[in-house]
Amino acid sequence: MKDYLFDGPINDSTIVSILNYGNEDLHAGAYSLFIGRVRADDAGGKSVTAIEYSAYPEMVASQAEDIILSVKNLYPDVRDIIFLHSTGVVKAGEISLVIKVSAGHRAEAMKACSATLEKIKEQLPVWKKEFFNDQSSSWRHS
Amino acid sequence: MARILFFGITREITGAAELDYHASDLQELKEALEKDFDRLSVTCYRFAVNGAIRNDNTKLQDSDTVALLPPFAGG
Repeated sequence: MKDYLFDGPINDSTIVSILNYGNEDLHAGAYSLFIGRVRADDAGGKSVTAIEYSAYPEMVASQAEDIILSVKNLYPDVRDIIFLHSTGVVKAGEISLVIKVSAGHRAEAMKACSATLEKIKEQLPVWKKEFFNDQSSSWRHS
Repeated sequence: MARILFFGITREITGAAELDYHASDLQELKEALEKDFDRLSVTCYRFAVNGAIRNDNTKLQDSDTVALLPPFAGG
């Protein structure tokens, strides 16, 4: 699976596909799955209704490969890492990020999943603009 | 002319997804961009040249693609 970006909210069938991907690897004893949703954050009396994600697709591919390689180097028990990040508008409550790590054992799978998430936040060229229930919007950093 | 790509808030400031600029290095490009779009001078961004982040004053060729990258906010 070489796609790292997904247009719009990530749907149930895509999550199932991610979950089943790599099932033939019988040495993977654990999967760790992270599902990130858009949160209806409150900010000064208003709340987030949606986030619009944008990305630099050509750079996402190279950065994603670097992220995966560096996490695999940190956690050698990891068998595979896949993730999908939304672009476009994702409403509050909808899913914008899915990460699946397979590893020989659960501890490495869970640590590597968390490390992948942190590296995505730091290194993946993705930006988000929050939209609020008063029709205002603002760019969010972090 | 190098191809300049804008992302996130820098796209909103310039009103363009991409523009062409002639500049011999990143510092010259930064000065030209901030002269044309003064809000860029108070905006946090980094440069990537041909997909690689550059923190130095990289020399530019006309065939280069330069991207303005505000702080990443994925996840």
